[in-house]
Amino acid sequence: MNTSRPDWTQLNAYVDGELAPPEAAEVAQSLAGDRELAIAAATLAKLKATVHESAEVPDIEIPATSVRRVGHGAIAACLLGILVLAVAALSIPLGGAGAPPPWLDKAWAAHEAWANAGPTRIAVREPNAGQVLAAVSRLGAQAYLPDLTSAKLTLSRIEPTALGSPDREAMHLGYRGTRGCRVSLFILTGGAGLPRAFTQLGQSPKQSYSWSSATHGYLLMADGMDQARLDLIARSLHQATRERAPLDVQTRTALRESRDKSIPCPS
Amino acid sequence: MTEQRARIAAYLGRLNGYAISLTGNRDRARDLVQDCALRAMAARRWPGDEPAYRAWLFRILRNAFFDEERRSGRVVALDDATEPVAEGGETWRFDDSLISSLTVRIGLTKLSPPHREVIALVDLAGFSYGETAALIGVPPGTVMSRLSRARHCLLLAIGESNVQPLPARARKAAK
Repeated sequence: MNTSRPDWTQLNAYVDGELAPPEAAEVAQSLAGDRELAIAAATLAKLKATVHESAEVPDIEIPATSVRRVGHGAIAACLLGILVLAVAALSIPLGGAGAPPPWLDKAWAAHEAWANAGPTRIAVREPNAGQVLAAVSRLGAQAYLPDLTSAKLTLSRIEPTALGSPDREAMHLGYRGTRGCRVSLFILTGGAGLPRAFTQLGQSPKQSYSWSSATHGYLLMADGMDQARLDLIARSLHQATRERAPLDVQTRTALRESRDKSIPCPS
Repeated sequence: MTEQRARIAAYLGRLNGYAISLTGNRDRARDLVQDCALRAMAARRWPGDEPAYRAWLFRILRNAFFDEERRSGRVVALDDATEPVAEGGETWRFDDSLISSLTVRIGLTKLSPPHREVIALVDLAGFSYGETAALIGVPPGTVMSRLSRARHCLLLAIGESNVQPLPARARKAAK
């Protein structure tokens, strides 16, 4: 048997269990008679084990189902295909502050209850296709349930909520980011008394935006989020509801870039 | 779907380690893992066999990384062309007490991307040389030599002056 000293590459392959049995036996024999070589092999084994143990589970969420690709399954069909509004006013003025709806505090309470609770790694109550379909069914097919993955926000909650009058359907959509951001979008049937105009209702850190169509009212809110980022999200969603179309490539790119430039949300 | 989420969740730590090796940045790595998870959940079919599934997931992450780099106009070099060449055929005396998760983590940041990647795939993710070769598109022999150089560089990065070469008594060509 050849007992020549294995080189560094062979020693690595031996530690990895990648040598053929005869060659591995040869290296083992060398190790038995060469203390320095044995120490080097032990060092490699320790290095390998330490690297393996260094894995950290990231604080991310896995969606319950796909919300990424148009035309792939019920979720994508709902989020990207089912739309949008019978917008009566085609020239909606942008900007400006308006009177907040009387139920704004209730919306904030719902947002905070969701944003401050629940698992941080993998949400256990993320919506599935059935919930999305149920939400569309309750709100009407012209409701716009946006996909915000381009803004690195994952839809993680769809729940009916009580806002406004009892005879009005309201749905709370919660979006979780990867850096602590939580964005809520409330969709209400019938406009919910919200003005048609795109309206900023609050100032940083508790910011909210509202607008409405002939069929639905929308209220978007977040606490402590980068103002420019949230503003772009709100305007993009408003535009999408006006155009009755999913977010286009240019807008998705802008949302992604805005997110990359923004500061993380406070934890 | 729940089963698929659980399958992905089981690999999150290793995917994250691989993503860090590719990006060199924890925030970007987390985004990349998120993107990978989204892409995986969007797939119409998943490999049933676990080794194939694991390779599939890591390939998705790697492709997502390159897609992102292309979008950003960055040039990615994950081949050997820019790797520093370590001296071969020598063993090394090293103070094992210097090896800890912290020093390893810091040491990895000092390596070139190809070195980080091969260490992440073999040591962190647990791929064989053959699986790693298939994933990154190089021959198994390249994985073998690249990995040995990468570990050498990592030990150097961890210990710096604490690493002393010993003369090789005999050499045998790497298979």
